[in-house]
Amino acid sequence: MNIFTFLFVVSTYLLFIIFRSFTEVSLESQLLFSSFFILIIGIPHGAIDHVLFFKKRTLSQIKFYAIYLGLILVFLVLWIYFPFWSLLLFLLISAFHFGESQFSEIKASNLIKYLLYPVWGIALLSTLMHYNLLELIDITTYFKDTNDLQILYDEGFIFQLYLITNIGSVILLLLLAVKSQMNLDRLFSELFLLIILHITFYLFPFLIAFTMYFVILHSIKVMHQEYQFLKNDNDTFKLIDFIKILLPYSLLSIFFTALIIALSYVGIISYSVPLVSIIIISVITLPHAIVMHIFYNE
Amino acid sequence: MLLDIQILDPNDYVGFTFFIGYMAMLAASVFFFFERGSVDKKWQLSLLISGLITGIAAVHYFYMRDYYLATGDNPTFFRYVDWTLTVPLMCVEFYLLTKAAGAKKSLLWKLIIASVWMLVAGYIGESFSDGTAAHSVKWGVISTIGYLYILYAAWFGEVAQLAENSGSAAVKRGVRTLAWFVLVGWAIYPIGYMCMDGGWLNTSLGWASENVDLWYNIADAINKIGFGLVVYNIAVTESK
Repeated sequence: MNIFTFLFVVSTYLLFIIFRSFTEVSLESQLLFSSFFILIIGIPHGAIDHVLFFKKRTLSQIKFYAIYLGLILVFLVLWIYFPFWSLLLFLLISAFHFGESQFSEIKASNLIKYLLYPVWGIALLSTLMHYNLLELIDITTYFKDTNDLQILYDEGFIFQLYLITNIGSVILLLLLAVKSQMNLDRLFSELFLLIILHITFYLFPFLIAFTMYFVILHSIKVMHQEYQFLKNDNDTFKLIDFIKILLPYSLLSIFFTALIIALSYVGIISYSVPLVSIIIISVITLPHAIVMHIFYNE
Repeated sequence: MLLDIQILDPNDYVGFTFFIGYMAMLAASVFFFFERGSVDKKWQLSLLISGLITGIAAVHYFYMRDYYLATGDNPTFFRYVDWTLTVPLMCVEFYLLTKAAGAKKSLLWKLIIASVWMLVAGYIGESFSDGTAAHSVKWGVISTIGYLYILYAAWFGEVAQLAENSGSAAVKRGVRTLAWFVLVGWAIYPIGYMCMDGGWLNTSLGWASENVDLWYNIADAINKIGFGLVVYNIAVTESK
């Protein structure tokens, strides 16, 4: 168990106790909870992509920003014309990215690594969907444009995916242990984490469960990796320096996210607030996942 | 009534676990006391503590088994007397293992206070229950604070750091294994706690309050004997 899993277990316990005091947690409260933590912790974890990239590769700033923003634009266009495929692509990219950040320091053959990352990530997302499918369908049927994406939420398909990828993840983890590429302590920690994720996703509503994973096990962990990397590069680098470099792009992202959501809310943008939120998250995930892939591998 | 021979129903799983728990604890005590002589002097105290933990538990289990068979009630009071003696002794094991790496008495006291805090709150939660969720949750949370302190100390805090600096691979591995016992093994107890009337598993999933002792017996057998065996393994490895 690492410190992030410990934090996750403690948070799950505390939130469970708090949530038990209420008979039902409204969707508005869930949205408020999730938006708050995703904005203040989730967004900053991707706010120094440019710093990480330039520590790893040499490229002119203009080229980097052109490619970074170009990817965002291309994905945005894809969303407008092919929303279903875009959602699918977003889920696959996210699954790979979550898996990669979870096992970034494991030294294994490319074949096992590139199998483990998406399989573990899909196991994570399908588990979340499997335990909260009815709620997810309820949320998406509320708006016309999100209703169109429901084709993905086929109960039988999600269940098969849940089963296959969870079993697949366990087999791949065991394989890593057998090949001595993962020690027993780490193996038990990963199996323990899988069980804890299942319990959390079962106990909590969709949005809360995802936010807890995304904030504690993903964003805080990635920020810690980023901080350690920059600290190793410069001994005098302190936490306050890290916050300083996180702030500008975090604030900019939060501002634009809030602006676009507000435009959707007042009807200037013809997409519903939930769909706009998914689109924003997905278009910024694509270049972030690519930069983090370079960060972890080079 | 307790002096009569009690009949154990073959379908009474709770009674069965009391019976097998007693035998296993007794056997483990004999083993630890006998093996004490085969390890280096510096590890003999650790093995003595291991033997005392399972020995104290065996005596309690002997009594609790008869109490349960005679009355059909949960022997909650005796259960907590047993834990109040044995859980701090488990904390003593952590101290003894890391003593060579510089563990101070203050660590021992912090662990003992946390364990007593955890048990006293758990006892109030269980014994003075009015059958409501509010009571069980309140004392469950208070009890968990003590548990989380021990868990943190074993995984990331003083105990973990001392083990890391001990220079002994066996101690490092042993403390980590004990930390796993605290994380997984000790987490079985709340399952039993939540089965009592008003507990979450009782009210939400309908798990019967008769299961409380079943879970506690399973947890005790795993943790007390397992803890001792880990210490024994370290002692034997370090004595070679």
